[in-house]
Amino acid sequence: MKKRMVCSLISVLLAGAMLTGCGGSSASGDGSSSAVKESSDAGGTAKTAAAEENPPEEVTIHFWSGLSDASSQEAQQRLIDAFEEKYKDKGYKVEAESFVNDSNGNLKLEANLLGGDEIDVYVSYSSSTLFKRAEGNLALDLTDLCQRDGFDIESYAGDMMEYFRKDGKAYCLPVSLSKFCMVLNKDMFDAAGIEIPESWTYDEFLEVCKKLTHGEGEDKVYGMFWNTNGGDKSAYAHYMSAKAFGGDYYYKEGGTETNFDDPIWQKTIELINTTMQEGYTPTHADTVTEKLTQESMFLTGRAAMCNGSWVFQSIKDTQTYPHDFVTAFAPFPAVDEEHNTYIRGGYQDLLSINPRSEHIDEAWEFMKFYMNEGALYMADIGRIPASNTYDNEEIAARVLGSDGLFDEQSAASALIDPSGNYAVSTILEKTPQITDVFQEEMEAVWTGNKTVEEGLASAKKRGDEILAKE
Amino acid sequence: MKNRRFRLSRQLRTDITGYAFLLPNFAGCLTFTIIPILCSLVFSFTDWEYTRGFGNWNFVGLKNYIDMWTDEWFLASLKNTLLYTASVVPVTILLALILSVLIDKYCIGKLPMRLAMLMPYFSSTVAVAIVWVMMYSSFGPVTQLVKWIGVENPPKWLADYHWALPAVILVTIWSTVGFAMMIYTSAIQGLPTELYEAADIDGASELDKFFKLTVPFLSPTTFYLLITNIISSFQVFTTIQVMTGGGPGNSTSVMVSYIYRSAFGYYKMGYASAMAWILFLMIFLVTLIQWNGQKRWVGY
Repeated sequence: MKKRMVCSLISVLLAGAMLTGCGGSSASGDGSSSAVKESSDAGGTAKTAAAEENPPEEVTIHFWSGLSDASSQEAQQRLIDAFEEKYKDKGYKVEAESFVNDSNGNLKLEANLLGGDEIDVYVSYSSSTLFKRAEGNLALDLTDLCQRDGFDIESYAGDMMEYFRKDGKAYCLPVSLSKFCMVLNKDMFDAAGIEIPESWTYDEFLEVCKKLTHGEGEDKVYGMFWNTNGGDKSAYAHYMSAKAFGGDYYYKEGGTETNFDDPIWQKTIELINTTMQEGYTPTHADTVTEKLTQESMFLTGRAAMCNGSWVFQSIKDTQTYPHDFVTAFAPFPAVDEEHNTYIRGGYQDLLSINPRSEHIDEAWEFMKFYMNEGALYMADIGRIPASNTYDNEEIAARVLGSDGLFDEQSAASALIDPSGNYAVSTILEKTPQITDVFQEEMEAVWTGNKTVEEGLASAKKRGDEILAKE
Repeated sequence: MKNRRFRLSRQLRTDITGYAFLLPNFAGCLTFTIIPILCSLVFSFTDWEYTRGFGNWNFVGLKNYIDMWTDEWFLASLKNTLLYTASVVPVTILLALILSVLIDKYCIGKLPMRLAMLMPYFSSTVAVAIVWVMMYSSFGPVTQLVKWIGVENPPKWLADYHWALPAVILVTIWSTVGFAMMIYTSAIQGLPTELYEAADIDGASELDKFFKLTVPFLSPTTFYLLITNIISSFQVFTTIQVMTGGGPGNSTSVMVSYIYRSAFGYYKMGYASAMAWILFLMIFLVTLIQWNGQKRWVGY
């Protein structure tokens, strides 16, 4: 990293970059900022053109969200168009910018937030990142704005907001909800004579996996596909256990100790391990090395079930992923009926204002609009509005579309109905580290290098050590 | 006297012009290399988490430098980095030496052969890594080849605790051997032919000539390749990040990937900076030892 030999080469390159890239503006030094600059400049020319016929002074709100695919961006643009139309007389404009919602993309966002007033409104995707940002003064405390306008967030978004406040202060407006669920191939369920479950236990789930698995080699159809997309390769394990544990699925009361010695963990990991060892799902090694996805397994009919409603947009995109079966939804199975307490999910898109923004009032108007009126357009891509200002049926119609791709009844209850007892995380102590420990230990279990007991015991020991460190 | 002053001021003007030409380069180096390096030294003595904002930190003395030696992720990464370097560097250099001599002496289509060997070095590391991920998959050619040889249950390569690191090492060797070979080739072409002729007259065998003439004559090249390859091996990141992400478990986690994870996954900028400095010191030390050791075996 600090090689003298490379130093001179780098400096030549950078000096070149400085000479060509620096337009005399207050660029923040991050490569991405020049891209932002360019796009905002492009917006600037459009602005002056429009201003000639439209005297009120225009204000451009720079909005950063983590939508990467075209159909999502189109839906967001419909929302922005509606906002601009409503505030036409005030001359509000919104420039949308996308970042990839992964560690690099979030880093880019944070670097820009630290760098200045490039961004007015942005989206965080979990309470933990939001709180980090609030701590670092990258998110504005919205209390004053709420009081000024008499805007009671809880009256729109419900009591879950409590968990998204930090020390009682609101740093975000939640605009959408997500409900984590299982995605099912209804045609395969019908053919096997299995009813779409409204709630089920681990035993029932395992039975279904077994019934739906058939064939050999290239033609094999798996009962289940455990989706490892994203950074957390064993996330599905805590999607299941959170049914019993709630949002603090790694911790014992108080957060000073991990809970991997709990029998519920033992049962959960055993269940997943059984599905892998019995061949009801592709093995972990195949999933990882062949980079299997929900699209390549579920939408091609090679697996009858998969976890995570994130595949939703791909299901609707029948051009890229042609398929002719009906998709149904079900909640995650619970260890037993007693522990069927929580639903994993909660607020998904959290809108915040950059405290360094020069257009805080305008940004606030945009956020309120997004939450209570605009989120409708985002239902087109499967995002359920968090606010209660919408008509549930209209939302369902928008979410599911009219192509008959979905089983409406199960979708309504497992995916769309916003009510439920959500598992919300309150303990965020060293969660990234414990997640990595858990993932490593589970990987050892899935690949047969450790037994379930050994893996969990080791996760417990290592997790506790990390918590004990200051 | 007058004449002398005139010359001095011209000297001064020449100097200023020279420094002015250096300035853009130096300013870039200062802003993007020297200042960040010094900052990271300061960070390494703090508990800074970067989301807290610049300056919002506490000095913790040597805590970061002490903590890392009880951190199993750091120790595993250190072990993997050393293993990786200890296998990639000697194999690459040895293979490059043998290949360059063989191609130089016995190959018919020399240029196409050398270009083919060099291709992976020119290609994007990410693209190379992704292609190799497919090669190693259970339907990929590597696995099929091993099956064809007669191994019934071929390892899962990148998903196997014991095979993942060797698999990555193989890819690195494959993609860097061409460059080392080119360097050797150009050195071989500059070797004095009269010595070889003299050796022929004295009846030396091909092997004798290789070990007693070629190898010693190429020692400065070997020295150069050793230093650059060790440095780049200590800093390996892209190939591993793309191919395994450090997994399975932490069996392929290396120092740079753990530094990255600490800084941007766990937000521990201070701790990550301390590890970066340890990595720097290690590279520096190894290079220093080699530099002083060269007198014993490098002949110019």
